[in-house]
Amino acid sequence: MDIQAYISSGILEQYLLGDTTTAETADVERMAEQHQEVRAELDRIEMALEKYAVMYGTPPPAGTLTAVLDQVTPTSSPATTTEKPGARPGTNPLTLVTGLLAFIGLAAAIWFFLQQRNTQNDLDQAQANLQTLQEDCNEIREQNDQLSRSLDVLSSQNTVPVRMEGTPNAPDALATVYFNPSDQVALLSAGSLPTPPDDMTYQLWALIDGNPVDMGIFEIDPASGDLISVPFIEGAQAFAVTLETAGGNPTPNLDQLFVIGNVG
Amino acid sequence: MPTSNPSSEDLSQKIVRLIRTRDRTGLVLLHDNYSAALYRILLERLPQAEVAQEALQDVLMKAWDNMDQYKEGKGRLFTWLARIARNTAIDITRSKNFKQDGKTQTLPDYVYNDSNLSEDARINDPGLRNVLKTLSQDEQRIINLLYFKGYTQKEASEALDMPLGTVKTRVRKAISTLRSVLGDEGVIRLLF
Repeated sequence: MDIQAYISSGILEQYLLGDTTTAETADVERMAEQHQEVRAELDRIEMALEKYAVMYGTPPPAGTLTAVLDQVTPTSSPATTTEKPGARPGTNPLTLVTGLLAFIGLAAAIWFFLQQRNTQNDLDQAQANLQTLQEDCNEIREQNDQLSRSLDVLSSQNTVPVRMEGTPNAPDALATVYFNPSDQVALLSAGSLPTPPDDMTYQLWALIDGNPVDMGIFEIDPASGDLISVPFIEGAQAFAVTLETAGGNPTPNLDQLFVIGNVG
Repeated sequence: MPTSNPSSEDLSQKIVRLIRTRDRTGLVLLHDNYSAALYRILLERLPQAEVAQEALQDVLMKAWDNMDQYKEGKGRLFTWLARIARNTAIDITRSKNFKQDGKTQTLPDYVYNDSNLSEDARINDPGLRNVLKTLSQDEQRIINLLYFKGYTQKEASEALDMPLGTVKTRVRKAISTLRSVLGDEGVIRLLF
């Protein structure tokens, strides 16, 4: 048989177009098996028709693939669809699903990150609050200790209150030294002294046989409960408060005597 | 468009291998590359879109279930798929529930209101327009009737009022033209 004549008879095209009888089909397939030229010619026609068909294809309705995939049993992850060549982005439901999953994953990651950051912020704030509360607590404990000590002094039977009356410099002023010789402690209550100028300070003195003994400078601090611990001076006969230059002076400025009172 | 992909042979092999190993990725690749062509073949024979879509799903299922029956040495994967599509369409048209409103009733419409003429205007791809220019209108009609619509050459000769011998000659010439234009080199030359 003349192979070239067979090839150019048009039977191969007819075969590929599905337009051959069963006998003709079997004949073409037999010829293709026996003759390399026929097989090669079929391949070329197939390629041409395939490309033509692909070019003139009509995209099927969306969901076609999903419906089929739902029916087949998966044995491996379909997440590798990104490797297919010629894939049109957005047309493949699996790509959409993969993209959606990636988006959800990303959103979840961001959400967890923000949650974690919020939690960290909350924790930092709670720790800061705790520290503030601890500082407050320490301060209050300190004040409490001081008040307790003051109360001990005040409530002791051996404590003698020494009232210091205002002088003409401050007629309404009043201060008190609580003096306890047995425990050798002394407290000063100076709440009603007028607030001193910025560059001046009050200084407390003990008087022994008419000689002043320095008992230190003090500030009027209403928050401290109005009781200030002061040095105990053995044998003090009187106490006095003068207004001195800032930092205090070794001897009192008697022109600026504010209050004075005798022991006993 | 996978048409310009010179490794389309590798793609077919990959699809076959994946589907044989029951990897659904193969089905996805098959769908993405061939569904449009298969759907066109089905749609031309089963004009109701829902029927054609069902048929396409049927074809994809058959490809999934019967890939072992595909013999690489006997032809290209798409040729095998197109045959499945044609046979599926034939089975549906022969079933008693199918209304025979495809071939016989639309025959005059198809010939005289040839949709392929307007289709030319829809194609924006310059490479495709070049392919179309190389085919005469008669050649296009014949190829579309025979390939997509599934006419026999005899039916085509009646539909086009053209002697059977002329149809045979035109088919051969049209496919020869397609071969030269759509061969790998030809496509690359056209598209790039």
